[in-house]
Amino acid sequence: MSDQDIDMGPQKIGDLSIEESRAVRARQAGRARAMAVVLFGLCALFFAITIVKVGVWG
Amino acid sequence: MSVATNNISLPADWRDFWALTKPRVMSLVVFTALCGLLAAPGDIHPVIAFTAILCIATGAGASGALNQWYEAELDARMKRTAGRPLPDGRMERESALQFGIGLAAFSVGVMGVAVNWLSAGILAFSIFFYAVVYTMWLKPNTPQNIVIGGAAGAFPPVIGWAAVTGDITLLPVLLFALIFFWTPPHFWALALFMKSDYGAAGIPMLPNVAGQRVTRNQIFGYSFVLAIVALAPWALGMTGILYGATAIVLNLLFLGLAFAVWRSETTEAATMKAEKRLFAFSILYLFIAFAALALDRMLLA
Repeated sequence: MSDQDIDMGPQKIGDLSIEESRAVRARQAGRARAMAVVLFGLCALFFAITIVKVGVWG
Repeated sequence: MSVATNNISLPADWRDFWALTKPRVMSLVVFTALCGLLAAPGDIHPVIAFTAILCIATGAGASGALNQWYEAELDARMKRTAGRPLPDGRMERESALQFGIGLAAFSVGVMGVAVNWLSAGILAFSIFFYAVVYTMWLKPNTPQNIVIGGAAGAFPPVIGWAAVTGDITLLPVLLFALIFFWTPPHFWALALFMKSDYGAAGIPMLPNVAGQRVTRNQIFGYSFVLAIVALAPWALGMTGILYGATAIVLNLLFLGLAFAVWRSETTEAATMKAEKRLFAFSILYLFIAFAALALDRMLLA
């Protein structure tokens, strides 16, 4: 990381401008949120499958 | 991971991954699979039924992603597909391949563990059939591509049935045949008014290779085979009058629209009203036929 990077604050990515860095961060945040929804959904599904398979719900 | 867009390196958006799964195609797959599942005799726990449908949808999504990975360059040459994530440069091809393989492995694995391995095996074969046999082999090489390739889209009701019963009998085979023989008139109606698009991409669809007259003859001919297959479940006593009456009406309408296509001589896509009507009705036809069959079987049960 160069001195210029540090001077422009923590939001900056590599050689990108602050605005470009924000666009990348927003895209990454969107993907992270989508992945979180998918993972929480899978946790709930696998829990339900397990409960059904062990026969708790008949 | 990232692509150059407006001189900025942006990671692909989650919506682009969603678009890779061909959500519209997936909706038809989910519906026919659900009808196969509801028409099957026996009980299945709602959680397991939901898991089976989710796996079938995910498997269809995997097929769509692998198809778009392989056809990225072809898609760029067609107006209808040029806006997809890969030809539009919103995503790298490698990401689509990894996404497709990941979804395929997930769908087959979960189906096998949570539902049964027969349905998982058919699901795995259907993904292979669509991604490899249809996309890589048939589609670029033969005008009969969608006839044989139609089998890939015909598997969902069989998988739905197998998820409940763990076996395959005559009715799921007839449901398979219904979609199999529905596919040629459905796709060739589209190919007639999208002829220039497919021609630009170098895909040997029947209208480009054999001409419009042959295609119109084939559409009309397949419509008769479709009618016979569609009426078979009722004629063989596997469904009641609800499905039988629905199938008769639907197939009379289908034959009427196919007859209009057969009679038409127009060569301009803009004036192909009969072809567009048949294409639009064919989608409705499949939805109503499967809904009537599932409802009829549930009432009989």
